Amino acid sequence: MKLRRSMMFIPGDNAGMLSNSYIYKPDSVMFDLEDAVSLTEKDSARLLVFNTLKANLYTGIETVVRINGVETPFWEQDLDMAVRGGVEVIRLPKTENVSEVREIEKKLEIIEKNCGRNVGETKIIAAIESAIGVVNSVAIAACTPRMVAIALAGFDYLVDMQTSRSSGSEPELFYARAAVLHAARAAKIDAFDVAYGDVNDEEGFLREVKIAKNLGFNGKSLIHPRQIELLHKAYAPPKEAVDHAEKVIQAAKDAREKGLGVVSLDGKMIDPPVIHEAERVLLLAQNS
Amino acid sequence: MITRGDPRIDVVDGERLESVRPQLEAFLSTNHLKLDSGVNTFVVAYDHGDGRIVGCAGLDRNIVKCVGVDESFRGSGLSLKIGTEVVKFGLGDGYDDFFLYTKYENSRLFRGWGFSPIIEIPEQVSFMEFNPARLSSYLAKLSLEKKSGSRIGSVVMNANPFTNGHRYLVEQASKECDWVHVFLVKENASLIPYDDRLMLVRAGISDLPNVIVHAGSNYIISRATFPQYFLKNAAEINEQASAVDALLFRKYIAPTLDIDVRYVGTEPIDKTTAMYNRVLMKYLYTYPYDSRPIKLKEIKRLEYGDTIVSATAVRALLSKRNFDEIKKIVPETTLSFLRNFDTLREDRAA
Amino acid sequence: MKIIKKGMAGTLESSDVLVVISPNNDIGLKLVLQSKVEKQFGSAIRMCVKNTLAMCGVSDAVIEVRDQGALECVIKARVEAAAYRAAGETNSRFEVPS
Repeated sequence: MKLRRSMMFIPGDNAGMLSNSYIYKPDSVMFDLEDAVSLTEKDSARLLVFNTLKANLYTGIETVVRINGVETPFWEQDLDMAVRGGVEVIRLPKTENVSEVREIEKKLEIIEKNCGRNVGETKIIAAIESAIGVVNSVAIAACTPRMVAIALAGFDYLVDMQTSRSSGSEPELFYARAAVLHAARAAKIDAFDVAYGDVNDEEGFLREVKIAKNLGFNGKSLIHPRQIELLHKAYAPPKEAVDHAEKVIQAAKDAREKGLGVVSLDGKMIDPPVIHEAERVLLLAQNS
Repeated sequence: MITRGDPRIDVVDGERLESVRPQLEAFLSTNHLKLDSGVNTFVVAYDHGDGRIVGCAGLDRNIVKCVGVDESFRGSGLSLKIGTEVVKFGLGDGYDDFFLYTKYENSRLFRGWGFSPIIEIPEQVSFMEFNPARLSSYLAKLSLEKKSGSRIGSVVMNANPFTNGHRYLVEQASKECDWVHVFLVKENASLIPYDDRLMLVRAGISDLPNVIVHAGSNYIISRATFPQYFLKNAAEINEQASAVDALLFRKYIAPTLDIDVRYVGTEPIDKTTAMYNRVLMKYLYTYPYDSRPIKLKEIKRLEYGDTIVSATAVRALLSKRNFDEIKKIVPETTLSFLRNFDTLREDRAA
Repeated sequence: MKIIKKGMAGTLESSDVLVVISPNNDIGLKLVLQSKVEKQFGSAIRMCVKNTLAMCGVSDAVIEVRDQGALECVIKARVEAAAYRAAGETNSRFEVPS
C-alpha cells in the first residue's frame, strides 16, 4: 500500500526547487515539463529533470514527470528522458481518450526495452482536464495495468465547462470530482483532487482538502511546499480511529498466530476490507 | 516558484517598446527613476492578475539601466528572474560583459545578479561589472606594455580628429617623462570612426620614440564608465560618473603600467572637459583611496589666432570644407585623411 | 560535438548556474569559473564541467560558468544544455548510467 496524499508540482526548469524540495517530504513529487516550462526552455528543463532523477535526491518519494501532451513535438523526448532517468510515474496531461494512453504505452514499451528496464515498470497517471476527459474517465482509468491514479485538473476543465472557480461550496467541480473518483475506484486505482491556486489562502485550501477527503480522494496536487504539511495534517486519522485500527491489526495477528480462519474483535467478526482499512489508517498515522 | 499566479516576464524592444513606454515611464517614476533614452530593450514583468508592470530592467548596449521592482514583489525572487532575462538577452545579442551604475546601498541586489563592484565610493555609488575576469585579462594584456623609468606619463584622448593640439600635449609629456602611454577613447560616438582615429594618432606621433599608443577599452571613458561624457548637454555631467572613471584609472590602469602622472590640456572653452579636469584632479590625487595617488599635470593649450587648437574647431571647419584653415591646426596625415573623409563616408554608407 | 555558436543555459537564481559556451579559436577548453563557493568547491566544479563536456564530446570551447551554489546534477544539466545549444543540436541524448 502506498500513500498518495500530496503530489508536489515542481517547474522542470527551476534548479533551486529541483535541488531542495525533497526536504518537504511529499508523498509524490511531479517534475513538470509542460505548462511551467516555456517553449524555449523545454530542452534545458528536460536535461535538468534527467540529471535530478539520476542524482537520487528523492529517495523514498514517488517521482513523477509530467510530459508535454501527445499533440506537441516534445512528448517523445520527454518520455525518453524520463524513462532513462528512472522515473516511477509518467503524468499524461489533458488526457481525453484511451487511444492517447495507448500511444504512450507503446512508446514506453520501446524505451523500456531499449534501456534495459522491465516492460511495464513505468506507471502512468492520467490527468483529466476537459469535459470529454471526465466522460471517458471510466475507460481511461481501466485501460492499462500501468495506470496507478487519475488526477483531476480544474483550470482547463472549468474553461471547457464555460464556468470559473467560485469560492465556498464549489458546485462547478462537483460532477467532475464525483465522476473521476468513481472511475478511479471502479478501476481500483488512486485519485488526486485539483490543485489549489492561492498559496496564501490557508483557510480556503483546508476547506477544499476537507471536501476532497470526505469525497474519498487519496490526496491533491499541490503547487507550494507549505501546502504539504497542511494536507498531511488534515489527512491524519483521529486518535480513536488509530486506536481502533491498532486493535483490529492486533486481532488479525492473534488470529493468524492461533491459526484461526476468522478474525474477531469484541465478539464481532472482522472482514478483510476492514483489516485493509485499518492498515491504511495506521500508515496515514505513521506518516502524518 | 512558477505557478499560474506568478508575474509574466516579457522582453520588449522596437515598436513593442514604444507601445509600453508610457506604462514603463509611470512605473519607473514610482521608483524615482527616469526612462533612459539610450535603453532600447526592456525586460518587463507583468502582474498575472491585473496586468500592471511590477518590475523592469533595461539594456543600453551592454549597460544595465532603469532597474525597478514593485515593493510588494521585493524579496520574491522576481528581481533575479528579471536579471537572468537581461543577461541572457544581452549574451544572445553578442555581448559578453555587462556594466551598471547603482546607488551604493543597492549594490547588494546586483551582487545577487552576479555582478561584482569594481569601483565603489562608499555611501554614494557602485560601478559593477558582470564579468570581472574581463578586467583582469585586459590588465594582464596591458601589463605586457609596461616600461620602467623614473617618471611614467599618460594621456587619454578622443582625438576626433587628431590635431596639432594633441600632438603638442603628447610632445610636452614625452619631453618630461621616460615613457608616455596614450589611451584612445574607444567609443564610436564621434564623427571619425575609432579605427581611423587610432590610425591618425599613431601616424601623428610616430616620430616620438618613447610614446606607446594603446587601443581603447571599456575601462577608460566608455559609455559604461562615463555615460555622461557622450551626452551633448554639459549640464548633465555629474561628479560621480567622472569620479568612477578617474578611480578606475587610479586603481587599475595606472598601477599596471606604473603611471605617475596624467597629462591634460587646460580647458578654457568646453565645460564638459573643464569639469572633467577638476574632478580628475580630485579623484586621481587628493581623494583618499586605497591606491597610490596619480599626479595631474595641466599643459596650456596650443593657440592659433585668438583661440585654441581643438578637435571641435576642426570639425566646424570640416563642415564648411575649409581645408585652408584646417591645414593650420592639424598634422599632414590628418589633413589628407579629412580631404578624403566625405567621400569615404559615402562609400561606407553605400 | 562541435561548438559552432554561443550557447547558454541556466539562470542567476540561487542553487542554479549560468553556463555560456562559445567557439574557441584555439584548440582545447578554456574554462572561466565564478562561484560563491569557489574556495571549497572550485576544483570539484571544474572537474564536473570538464567531465560533462568530455561526455558530450566537446574538445574545443570557451566555457564561462557562473555558479550560484548549484548541485553537481544541476551543473551537469546546464553544461549539457548549453553545449547542445552551442552545437546547434536540438535532440539531447539521455545516457543511462552504466
